[in-house]
This record gives sequence, structure tokens and C-alpha cells, in this order.
Amino acid sequence: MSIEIAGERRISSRVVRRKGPRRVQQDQADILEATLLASFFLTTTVKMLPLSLLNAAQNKPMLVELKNGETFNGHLVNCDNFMNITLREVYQTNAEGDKFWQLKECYIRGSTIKYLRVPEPLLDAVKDEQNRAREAGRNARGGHSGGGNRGGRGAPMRGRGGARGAPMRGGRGRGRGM
Amino acid sequence: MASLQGYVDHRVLLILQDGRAIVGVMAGYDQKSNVVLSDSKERVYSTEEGVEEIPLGLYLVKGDQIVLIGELDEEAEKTVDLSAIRAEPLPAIRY
Repeated sequence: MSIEIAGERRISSRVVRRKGPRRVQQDQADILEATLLASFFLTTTVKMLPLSLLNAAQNKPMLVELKNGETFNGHLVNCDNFMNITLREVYQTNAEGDKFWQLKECYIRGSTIKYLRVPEPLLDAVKDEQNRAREAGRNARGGHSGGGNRGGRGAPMRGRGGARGAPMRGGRGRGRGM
Repeated sequence: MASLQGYVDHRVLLILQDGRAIVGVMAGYDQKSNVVLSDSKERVYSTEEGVEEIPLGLYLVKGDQIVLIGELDEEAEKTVDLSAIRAEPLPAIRY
């Protein structure tokens, strides 16, 4: 026969002491705090998504190497989520590096690309722009929500106050004990 | 679940399917493992001469071409003398 009393379980004559409910709650709180802190730190590291970098590289010169080794040097016109790209003023070189073509415009399917080389200053430029956009968004949202609270506080309070009265009247036992 | 989040802003070694080894700072990645590498250098290994490091700049590498991403120990890297290393270059992947 086993009796479970607040975390202590007796199995025949052996006492298997488990954590009491309060200790478990404290552990869970610690874990929650740790994960919150971790997620906070994770969200604060600025990540540069490859497609964001590519979208920001429009009109910039770049080198594209395909899986077959051919290279395309040109200016990026447009790109999409599959990394399909269109380039203009392109110099195409074959994989061995001995044949050259000049193309006014070309379309490259994303799935054939091995890598793209872009000018180094582009990374800092895009990061600054992202930070600026984030700051602008934060300020705008802060301003709007502050104004909204001020305006909305009058009306909903009335409704909530009225609602508060009714359930209290009905909930006989709640205020006065069990 | 393996995530590349831990490697962001760290110096990493990327090995591609064609056998190329590239080191650089990982600036970002996405779900398909496409990687943005800044200040990247290609390391060409040879059995005759030491390692040749070719600076490449900002790289956007397609995820399907990546074989391995390894975090570099910056301290250990400083003590390594690249000109003394003799090694066979990695062959490309053959399917």
C-alpha cells in the first residue's frame, strides 16, 4: 500500500522522499527566470538575415558563383525569397576562367547559386538601417500606446466598475470567506 | 534542435561542398542555413607550401552548399602559424 502525503511516498516500509510542492514551485520559478533571462539575451543579439542583406544590396555590385563554378559579376536589380536574382551589366566567366561573356541583363535561379560576394561596407550600412528602423518603430509605438491609454482610460473604467459591482453582489461567498 | 544562434558574431569555419574552407565572422543565418559571413578569408591548404589565406570580404553562402560550420577558438587561432601547416586540401563532395 502506498500513501502519498505532500510529496512523501511510503512504499511498504521504505520512505521515498520526494520534493515537497513548495520546493517544486521554487525550482519552476528559477527555471522560468533563467529561460526569461536567456530569451532576453537572445532577442537582444541583432541577427542579419541573409535575405535581408540581399534585399538591401539592390543596385550594388556583386559576384555570384554558381554551383557549376561559373561566376557572374554585376549589379543586383532584384531578388526574391528563393534568392532568384536579376543582374545588369554582367560579366560572366566559365568555371575554368578562360571564357568570358558580357550580358546586359541576366536572371539567375536561386537554387543554382553557391554563394554571393557583396561589398563589405554593406553589412554595417544594413545593420545601422535596421537599428534606426527599430528605434523609430519603438518610439512610434511608445508614443501611440501612451496616448491611447490616456484616452481610453475614462471609458473602459466605467464599464469595468459597473461589472465589478454586479459579480461581487452575486458572488456571496467570495469576499466573506470559504 | 540544433540552432546556429550560438555562433552569431563568432568567428567560424565554414566547409563547403566543393571542399573550400572559409573562416569569417557569422553575422546571420536563416532557416535554410544560408549564412552571412563578414571579414571572411578562404584558407587554401597545400602539401607543398603553408596555408594561403585569401581575403574575401562579405559573403552570403547558400545553405545547401554548406557541409560544416565550426566555431573557432580565437585564442588558439592566434598561436597557430599558418605558414608551417602542410595539409592535403579537402576534395569536393562526390555523390
